[in-house]
Amino acid sequence: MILLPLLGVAGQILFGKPRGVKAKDSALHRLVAIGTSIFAGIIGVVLVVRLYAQVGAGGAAGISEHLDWVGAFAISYAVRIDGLNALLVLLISVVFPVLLVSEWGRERGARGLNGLFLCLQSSLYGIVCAQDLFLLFFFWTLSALPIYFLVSIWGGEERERAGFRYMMTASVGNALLFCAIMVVYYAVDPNTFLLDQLSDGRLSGIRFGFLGGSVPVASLAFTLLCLSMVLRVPVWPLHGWFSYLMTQAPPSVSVALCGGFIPAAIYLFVRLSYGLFPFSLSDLSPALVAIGAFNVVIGAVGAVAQRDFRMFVASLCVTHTGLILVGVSSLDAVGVVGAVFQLFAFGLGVSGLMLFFGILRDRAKSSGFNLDGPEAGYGGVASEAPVMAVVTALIVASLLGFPGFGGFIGNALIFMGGYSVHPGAVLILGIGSLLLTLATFSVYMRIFLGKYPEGAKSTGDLVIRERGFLLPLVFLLVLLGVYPKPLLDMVRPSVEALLQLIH
Amino acid sequence: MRDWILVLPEITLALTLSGLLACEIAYRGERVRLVSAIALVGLAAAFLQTVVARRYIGAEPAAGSLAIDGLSSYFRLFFIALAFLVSAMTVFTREIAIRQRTEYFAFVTAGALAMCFAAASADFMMAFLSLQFLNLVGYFMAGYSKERSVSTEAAVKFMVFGAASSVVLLYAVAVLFSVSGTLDIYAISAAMRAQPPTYVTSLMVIVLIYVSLSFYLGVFPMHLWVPDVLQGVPMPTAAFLALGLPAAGFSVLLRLFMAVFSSKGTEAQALWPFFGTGGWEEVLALASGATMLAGALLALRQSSAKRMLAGLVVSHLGLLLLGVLVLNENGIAAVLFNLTAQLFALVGVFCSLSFLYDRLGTDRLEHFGGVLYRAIPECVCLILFLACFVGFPPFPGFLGRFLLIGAAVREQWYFLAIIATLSTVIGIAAFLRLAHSLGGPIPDERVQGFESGGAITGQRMFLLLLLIPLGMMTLFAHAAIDWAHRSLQFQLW
Repeated sequence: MILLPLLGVAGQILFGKPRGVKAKDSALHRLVAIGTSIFAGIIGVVLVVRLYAQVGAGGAAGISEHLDWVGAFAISYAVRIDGLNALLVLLISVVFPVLLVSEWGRERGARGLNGLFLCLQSSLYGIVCAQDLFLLFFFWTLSALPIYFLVSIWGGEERERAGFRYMMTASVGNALLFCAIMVVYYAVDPNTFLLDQLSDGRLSGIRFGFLGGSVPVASLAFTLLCLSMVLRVPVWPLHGWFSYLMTQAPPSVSVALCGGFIPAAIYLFVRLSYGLFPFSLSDLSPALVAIGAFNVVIGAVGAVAQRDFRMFVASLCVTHTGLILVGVSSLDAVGVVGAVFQLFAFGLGVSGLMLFFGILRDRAKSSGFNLDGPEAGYGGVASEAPVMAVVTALIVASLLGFPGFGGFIGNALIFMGGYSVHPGAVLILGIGSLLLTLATFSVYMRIFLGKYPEGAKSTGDLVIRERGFLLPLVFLLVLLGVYPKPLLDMVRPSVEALLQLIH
Repeated sequence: MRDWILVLPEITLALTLSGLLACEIAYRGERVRLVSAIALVGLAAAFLQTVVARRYIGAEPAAGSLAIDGLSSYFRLFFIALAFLVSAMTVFTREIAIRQRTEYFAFVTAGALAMCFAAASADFMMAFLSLQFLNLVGYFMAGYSKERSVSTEAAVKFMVFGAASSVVLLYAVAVLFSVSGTLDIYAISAAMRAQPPTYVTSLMVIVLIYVSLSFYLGVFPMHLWVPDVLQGVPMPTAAFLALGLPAAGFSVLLRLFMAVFSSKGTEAQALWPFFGTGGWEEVLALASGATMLAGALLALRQSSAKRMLAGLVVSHLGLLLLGVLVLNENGIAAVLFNLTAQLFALVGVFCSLSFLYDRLGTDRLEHFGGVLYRAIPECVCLILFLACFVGFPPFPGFLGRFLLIGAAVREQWYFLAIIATLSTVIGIAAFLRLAHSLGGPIPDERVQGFESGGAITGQRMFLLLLLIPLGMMTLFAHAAIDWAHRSLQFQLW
């Protein structure tokens, strides 16, 4: 019974790898790329469904696979899907095929683009599923490379600087994570990279001597981990690289970044901090909540002030990262479940928003709009493209947490979980959300309502392909809002198991 | 008989060398193919003999002046494989005119011979002589394209540094001789064990030996020849010098440190006990850290691909010193693993760079723009090999770095481990600059690729063949590390 999913996980990682580059015919290689991505996605979904059945039957161990790799250093290929990462696997399985389909129309450099997206997909799967720190670091570093090349080859005017800045921050972040992993690895005896063997608070109480002083391993490694995360996820004091990257990246890459990478990275933080350093986390959680709340406010204020659509989305990301951070560090089962759920809903929502922006931008080129920069001249698109307006409205509604959509559930759970522990922070979150609503609606209004510019050619509505790839996103968002129970049921046991360590 | 088998590789190399020279003088017909065939077949035969001789290792043939054990056997395999790969690379490059190929092969073979002797020498005189031989060959190779002023400068620099290094080595040998009254490494070791030298003597000898070998190793304080020489020479020579000289330096350094100054530990993981009192660790640690940082920073600022590579090589050599500093089986095995990964990666890098250099006539980064779309296989290979070399994960280069840094952390060299991580990050940034310069803007129409033909297909196959061992080293890393450990087990102490 367990053998089939084992093959599936291996296949999932391996199948992401072959790049659709060999085929000569351009349509064929695109089909190959999309086919690979969808196939990997289907395996992912099947595994999650299987996991759901397993959880329903009472087992919560998850679906796992373990192969020895470098025995002398206890490095192994260990992957697992459990309640915590199932939603992420689902997210990646949905976003990447959609993304590849949305890039169908690209004429130049499509092969490289598709190959890099596939590479990113498999590395994200790896980050999410890996149960071995060494393996995890592999994929974690690998994920930076496609984003760098995607931005610096297909990006906007200042793509090279944006890419270089991204890569430098990411490299420093990787190095810090590497240090954290090394510290953890050598702290335990026998040395091991396996998360299972390192969890259960084994690290607490171990100290090691450095420069004459003695430092507790857990808090040192936890600090390193936090620093490295800050450098790869947009969190307030250091999100400059992110906004810059967003303004230069092509829309599809932004989708991959916001909808794929950021949720995966935040997930990683949850997994490592709860698994390895539960006590350091509980010591520092007030500070993390404060940072999260501050992020929400900063992001929301930024969103109100932005006139450039992409900067607006960047602010949106900062806000949601903050929101999720509050949920994560609330140390309350409801809050953490809400955060994980919100990762999923946010990933879907922001992907939809960015995809829509990409579509509109393509149209704008041919119809004389200027979407980039602060002096964008658009408006009244709703009268030209009613379907697009409706779809976008649904996505925006979910992002803002309107009842009946996925975002609502996540937001509500985070608020509920957070309120019992940090009521003040939740109050701030509320204010931030209000600001964000204001900002989002004004952006929506400027684009869709109002008067269509005279003399401009019609943008035309969504064509079948675009409807096709937006459909699963919207469908999932609505489904999540109406009937989230199965997914929540899947997440809860794992989260409760993690939280038991702290309480 | 056993002695004969053990030194057969060196004999084959010498025979190949003389065959090449005879060809150059005597044979007037179509000599190019014959010469290439002789060189490649000779090297391949020597390689096979070394593999066979591995079953008989653990002896001191030639009246105790050579020590054929696991370590020297490993290094002989390394050097002969290097010479073979470089010779194969020579066939593809245009930088070495066909008429001159004979003498070039002769240099490479002679260099390999010198390196093999250096790796196996169990006698200070032998080590000194073979290093001098290597020096001479290296000098000729560095000044090979004598019309170019860069090349001449490189040769002069090489000669000056080389002369200084050999003088310093002679001083060290003289001191050791006056302490022990013999030149045989094992006899010196026994004498020192019987009557430990004073603190000043042992520290002085070690510092002298280190400074002298730092020329071959290409590490601080004598690392300055590396960028100049690599810039001035053709690509195959660059690969030969950048890999061969440091490896030869390491083979001698490891033998001296292991056989003369320490003895085999009783436990597998423990540090090997070291004769003479401390001081050397600080010297080596300082040198290692300085080399890593200097090399990485040097690489980051360069605008010429070869000089950038030179910086990366220097930085990596500094990292390898870390393995010597951790004087136990883990550290040394990590050095050997790294050298093996580096062999294939660097030859691959230089080979794909040589392709671009032949077509573009320059190695300036700003002239590389758009090459990616004209020669996709070569550029992808270049990026892969470089990624391996600078230690980007999933490649064995990363694994090797991890082993070294891990060995250092285990022995509590935290500060050096941090510097190593930092220099790796800087190295990756430099690599990204190079990789990115290949891209440039996406062309609007379909660009014309470089010409195609049998030679190019051959070169692509060669690159592909080089990728295979790297892939194997990633997948079967455990076996590779095991192999490195096994090389140390038949060590003569």
